Amino acid sequence: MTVTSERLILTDLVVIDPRSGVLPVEKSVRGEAPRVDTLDGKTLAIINNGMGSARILEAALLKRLRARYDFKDVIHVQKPSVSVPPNPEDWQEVVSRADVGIALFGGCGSCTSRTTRDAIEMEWAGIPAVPIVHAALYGSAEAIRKMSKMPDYPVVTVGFPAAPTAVWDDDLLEKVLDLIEPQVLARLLVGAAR
Amino acid sequence: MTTAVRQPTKRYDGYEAFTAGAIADGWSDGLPIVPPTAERVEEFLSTIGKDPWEVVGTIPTRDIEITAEQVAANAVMAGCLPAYMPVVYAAVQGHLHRLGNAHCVTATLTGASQMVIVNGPVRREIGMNCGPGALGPGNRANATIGRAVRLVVRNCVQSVPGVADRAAYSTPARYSYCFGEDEEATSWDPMHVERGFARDQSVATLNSMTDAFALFDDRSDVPELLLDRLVHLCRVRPINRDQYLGDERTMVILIGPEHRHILEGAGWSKADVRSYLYPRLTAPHTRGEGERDGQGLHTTGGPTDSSLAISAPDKLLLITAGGEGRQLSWALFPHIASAVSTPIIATH
Repeated sequence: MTVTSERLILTDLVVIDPRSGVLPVEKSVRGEAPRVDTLDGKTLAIINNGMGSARILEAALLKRLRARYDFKDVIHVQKPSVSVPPNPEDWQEVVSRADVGIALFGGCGSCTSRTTRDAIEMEWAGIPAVPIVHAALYGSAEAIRKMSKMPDYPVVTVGFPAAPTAVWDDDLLEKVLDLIEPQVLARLLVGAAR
Repeated sequence: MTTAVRQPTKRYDGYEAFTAGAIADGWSDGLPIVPPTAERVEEFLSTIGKDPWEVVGTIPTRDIEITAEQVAANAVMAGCLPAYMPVVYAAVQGHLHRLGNAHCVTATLTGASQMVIVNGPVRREIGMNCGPGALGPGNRANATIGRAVRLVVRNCVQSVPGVADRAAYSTPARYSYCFGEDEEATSWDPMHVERGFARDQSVATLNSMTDAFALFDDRSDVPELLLDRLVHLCRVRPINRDQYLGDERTMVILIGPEHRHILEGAGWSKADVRSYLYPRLTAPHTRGEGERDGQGLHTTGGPTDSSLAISAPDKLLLITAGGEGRQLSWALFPHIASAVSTPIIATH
């Protein structure tokens, strides 16, 4: 076959990979924090993104946990937007005082990944934590776990009909709590089921 | 400055193999792409005087650092000419600015799109469309600059549909969403001048957007009637207060030729238009405090109105664009992000 000069150029095409994250980087492995044996006497941090029913969920979950455990203190962090990190001063309080953490509520595409990341960053700061997200957005949590090099990091999910931005009545809220309370405790305490 | 390639390279046996391989590797938006060869990427980098490894911006939530070389490679793939690269670079800088809220707007269920508005001499130098059909296809600069930004979102911000990008429906505006302000068609100051830049400075303004509503009005013949109808249109959905964005929340209104004729003909400046619109867009509501609409969002205004949490008149960005014949203006609503205007710096 006759090879023209144009063909010759096109048959050996070397291109630059256009993606970020493809260069090798030296990064220390960061994993989960050690779990605790009880929540009694511990300081709990709750990082809340304010999405949908997040505030209602936080209040109801905390009421249940307080019925079982005598916390030393509870740090409430209200983030300035649904999909951003906590304010630096709030984050500093969490890492300096919290023993365990809960991040909620992953009720949208970007806030689910950020909520999961909030919990992961607490782990990296030595604080055992658990993210609570909506089942429909599980893929978003999955994506950020991979980006964070923690692909198997567990998340607690709330499913339909508890739609993330719908109004949850008392009956639905109790059903959600029945579902997630044991999972939250299992993730924070020693011997957590995976 | 050096132009040594830093990113890994891949070798293909011809263009067809490259196209198939690049699409299979997820580099493309689904359309064919131009091979980002080292020579081409270096040529693009030379237009902005950047080293390949210079960091354009970061996304802490994702542990991502985006370099000039990556932006250049995506601009090549999008089909840009080298002269477009400074515009692409400035737009990406805007996207990665804190107020661009890059993680949020590229992972959202809403399918927010990255709108690029170009001001200044570069529009004419590279032949951008600012008039009829400016927001649509048919102009290489408009089409490929917008596409380059979206390829950066895909390949560098790592927002791949169905993975980190959770858009429920997404939008065709995510293929490309770029146009210029029609500065020569009006007596009004262009947006970049209103935002503090010199008239002869070229500027790219990036804002991630969701909804767009068209105002078709061929009846109003005085500014007040026209703008009242615009207010009514705009208050069909809220813009909520967001603490992270604070007082920087912006909204964009494109004002078409006939509507400009009414406004300018009556001697109204952009500032006059904003002064009229602002209190009417942000007027308090008549419903109970804390009442929610069907989306669970707090609403204000009249019985069916929503509130636009715009902090000041100058956060209403009025743009001249579009063509004649239909008496149209457009109200463009932002996602949780503000407009970021970045000077376009070309080294040659």
